[in-house]
Amino acid sequence: MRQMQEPTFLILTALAAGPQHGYGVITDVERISEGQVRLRAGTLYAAFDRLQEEGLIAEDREEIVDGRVRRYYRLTGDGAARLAVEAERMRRHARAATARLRAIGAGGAA
Amino acid sequence: MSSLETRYRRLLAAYPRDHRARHEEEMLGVLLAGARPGQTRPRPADVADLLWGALRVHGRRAFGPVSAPAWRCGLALAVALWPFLMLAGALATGLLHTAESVGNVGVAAVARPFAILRLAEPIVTAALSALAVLLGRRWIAVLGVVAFVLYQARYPHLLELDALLFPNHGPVLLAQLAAVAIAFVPAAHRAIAVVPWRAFLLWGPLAVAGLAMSKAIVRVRWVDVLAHHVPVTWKPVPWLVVVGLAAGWACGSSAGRRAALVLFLPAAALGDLGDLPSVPAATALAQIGCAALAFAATAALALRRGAGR
Repeated sequence: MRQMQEPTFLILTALAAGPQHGYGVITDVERISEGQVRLRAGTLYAAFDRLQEEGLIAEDREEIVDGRVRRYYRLTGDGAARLAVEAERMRRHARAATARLRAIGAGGAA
Repeated sequence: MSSLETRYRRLLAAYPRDHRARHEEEMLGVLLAGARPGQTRPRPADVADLLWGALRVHGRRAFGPVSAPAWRCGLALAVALWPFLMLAGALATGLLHTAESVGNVGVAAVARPFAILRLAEPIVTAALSALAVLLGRRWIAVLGVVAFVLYQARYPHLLELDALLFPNHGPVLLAQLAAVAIAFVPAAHRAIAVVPWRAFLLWGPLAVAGLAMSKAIVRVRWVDVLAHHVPVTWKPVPWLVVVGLAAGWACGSSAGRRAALVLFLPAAALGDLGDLPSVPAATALAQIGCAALAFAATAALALRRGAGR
């Protein structure tokens, strides 16, 4: 299985909390990454396009705000499973890195 | 509508139409929500991000897994069009031969009627294959094989190894063989059925005329090809004219656009159908390069589709 890119991981993580609209995902990703990742509209909607096609996310509902459509997206079952696999893979790698750093006396607490 | 919104809308025009219809308002909402108070122009980072996003969405539509059916249709259409390209080439060459010897045709018709017949042979061979694809009749394809064998039997030296390895003959023979073989493929008939008759009637004569004119530049002594090698370097151009013309109607459909793209390299590799006595090494190499690229692209496409299943 191909490794997931960081923006994709963060978008799926944001949607794991519940359905969100585009701007909600952007602010949530910024919060999750502690300000490290700031998604922009072009990147976000190209990712939405791909993730919908792969069946990892789906449209949930839409509402009209200030005369403009606001569409909510949710994580699908496949998306949750894919995110779980990716989270486990990252946890495994982080564990290995932490153990090795501890062995040479570098790095902080695990 | 604010000037910022107008500018964002202009940028969003770079996205595919269906994506715009679905997400334009939504994206505008996100972009305007992230704008600073009083901002009138998009930030350069947003401009770059939107354009890069548009490129990625276009790329996915054109080459992503979702495009597999359109590529299959495009490939089938490209294969089906091959006999028609060969027919266009035979007709254009026949026109030029006739134009060159127009003064002698009357005399030849009386004194050497077989000479006229010989002029028509490559056209008849190509036409039978094209007709077999068009009508989906296997017996016409068989007639095409008979005509091809009879035509080749007249020039047995063309089947010798030395001649086959010569850039002017080997690829031409391969291209003709491919057209004869394609006439037996039922999928080719099904693929060609999507092309409307009026498209054939419009673009067919245009393709023949374009090809004849392009060939004429390096054939009818308008340019001394022995003294000036530069025009000869552009040998593949006539075929690219035909593919360009085919793209004229093909651009109306996603399968058509892909068919024109698939045909582009083999057409360039085919060159000028062996009309010239010799080709410069650079041209021959370029044509071989085009053939190799076409092969590599097809193999990569097939591998990717196989892995995607």
